[in-house]
Amino acid sequence: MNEARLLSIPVILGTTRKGRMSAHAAQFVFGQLQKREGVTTELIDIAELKLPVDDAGEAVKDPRFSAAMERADAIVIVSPEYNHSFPGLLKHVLDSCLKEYIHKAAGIVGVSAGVFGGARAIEHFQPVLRELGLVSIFWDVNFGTVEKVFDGNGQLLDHVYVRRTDKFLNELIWMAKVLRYGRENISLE
Amino acid sequence: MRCPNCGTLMNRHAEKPIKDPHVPEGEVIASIHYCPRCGKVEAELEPLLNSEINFRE
Ligand SMILES: Cc1cc2nc3c(=O)[nH]c(=O)nc-3n(C[C@H](O)[C@H](O)[C@H](O)COP(=O)(O)O)c2cc1C
Ligand SMILES: [Zn+2]
Repeated sequence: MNEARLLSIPVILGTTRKGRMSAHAAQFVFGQLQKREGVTTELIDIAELKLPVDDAGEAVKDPRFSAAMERADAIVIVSPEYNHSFPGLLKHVLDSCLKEYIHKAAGIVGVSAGVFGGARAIEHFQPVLRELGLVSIFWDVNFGTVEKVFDGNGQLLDHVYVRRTDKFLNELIWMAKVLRYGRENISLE
Repeated sequence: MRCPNCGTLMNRHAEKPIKDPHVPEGEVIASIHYCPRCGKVEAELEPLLNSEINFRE
């Protein structure tokens, strides 16, 4: 692997809802990533992208989002669970790129009011990630009953999430390194 | 293919079918090239042959 370049792992905050608790989860994971040596990260808020909704796919591509996905070696998607799946606007944003994602790692952080921590939304993501060319990892972070996990200011109340997020990031970083090695060195026959 | 940013020889690591109708060529396969030096991604579009299509709706 080209060691000179840091691994780039942006965190995507996947909802535009006012008062979204997912923002606390995204800030927390972003903070944990910032502590990792050899990793550079940024927080991408889909609300700030303001993609047009009168078209779809590459036609609504945002140059900054596209550049961040091209730079990325892995992405963290922070997704709330809405009616047992992920938000439609998050899919709209992801659909705006394709070549940028190929052979890169993806990990999902689920956030929900219910106890399952977005598990159903995470499952729904799997076929989507596959078609986008992303490689899904087998660790997730599940922020269930999220209003008990963070206080109103986004302070973490339940510290088990530090260790869980560490495990998730360990696997994501491993996959990101392996896939970068592959993209750099292993040619398709 | 040479990297448009830095001139390094890129690695062709994937072929991916693309169905986005905004691609002017219609249904295509994109060869994905990656620059080992700077991380630039390039896609080279080729027509998808009938023999490469599993099914059509
Ligand atoms: C349209 C909508 C649908 C929702 N559906 C579910 C659901 O299916 N399961 C669940 O546990 N919580 C559901 N919630 C609650 C969210 O999980 C909750 O708001 C949580 O804080 C994460 O989303 P947030 O980032 O928007 O706050 C729903 C919220 C909205 C706005
Ligand atoms: Zn280059």
